[in-house]
Amino acid sequence: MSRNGERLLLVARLLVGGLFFYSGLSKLNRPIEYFEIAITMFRIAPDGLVPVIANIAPWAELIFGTYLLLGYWTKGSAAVLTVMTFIFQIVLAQSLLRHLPVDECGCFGGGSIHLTLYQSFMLDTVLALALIQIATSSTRLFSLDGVLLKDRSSS
Amino acid sequence: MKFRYPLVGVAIALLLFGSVKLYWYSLGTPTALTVEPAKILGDPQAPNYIVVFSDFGCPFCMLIAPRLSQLVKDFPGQIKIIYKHFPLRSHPITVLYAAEASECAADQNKFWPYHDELFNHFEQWVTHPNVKPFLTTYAQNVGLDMKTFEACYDSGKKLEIVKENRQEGIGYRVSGTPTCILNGVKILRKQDLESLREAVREAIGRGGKTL
Repeated sequence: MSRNGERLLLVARLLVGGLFFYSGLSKLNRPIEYFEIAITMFRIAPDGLVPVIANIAPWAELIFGTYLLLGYWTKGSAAVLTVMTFIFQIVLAQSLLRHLPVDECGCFGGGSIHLTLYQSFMLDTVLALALIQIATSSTRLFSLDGVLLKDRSSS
Repeated sequence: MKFRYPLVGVAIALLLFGSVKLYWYSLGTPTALTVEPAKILGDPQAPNYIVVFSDFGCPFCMLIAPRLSQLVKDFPGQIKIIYKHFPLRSHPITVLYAAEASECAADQNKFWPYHDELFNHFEQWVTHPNVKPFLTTYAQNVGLDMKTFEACYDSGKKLEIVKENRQEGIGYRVSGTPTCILNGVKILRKQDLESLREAVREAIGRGGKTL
């Protein structure tokens, strides 16, 4: 990959990682019940599963978003976040197709970013494309992987 | 050193987990809620309570208000509703003025009729640039002494109570409206009338709880 391509991917990694970090944190800094409400409004998950999703998803966003920001387990983190993004897209698509009365996606918890379902679907599409690029490339520019795995291969 | 790579990952995850938990810990434990008698609906001696953190500019609060009144009718002497202001920062400033006006109505023991007026005419005033004439009209509608009401409203002295209510909500980890707390337990997801009735029946079965 060219130097410019690597830099572009670094910017994408930082932006996408930062976005997931923020998204996870904004859900975790308020009671989890509010995220449960957001999930319930999409009418897709069974009642018993809602608290499980509400407890796991924000932590996954926060941890893998941070990994991506730091460039730790970059490919794996990008792959996990890609799967999550696809699931979000399915949820959003079914809500749009069913014309559910959901004004805001709740993707950023109580944060200051408020997106409609359509806007979040478009954002997720861009994120998925960026994540696939990150997951399939081997660049380690400014990453923990670059430091840790280089040390390992030299030892 | 073959475990160094996974250990770094575990350390990052633990650091994140610890930071979030520390943030929650820093908020402290919820303090006892203050009870303002004029803002109780139902028998003040009722052994069960629902504290509702609400915002006059919130459509969902408007929807839940009649359900809460219905609970008081369905379970007379068993449940009381305690209103707390939680004006959301994302809403227009008018919601703050409405909350202050409702406190002035509470001074004349007309909080609940005024509360109903505000919700019933929600769309008229909430985004209006000049909200005072609306608030005054509703005060007249519920039969308030207008001189006292206007003096109270114009003084701005009720803002402090609204802020205190909001602060109590933050202590209870409230960050959205309506948040109902039934005998100390938040009810957020199932706020339809039947689910609320069921929750109250269960609370009554458990023997009630004081604030």
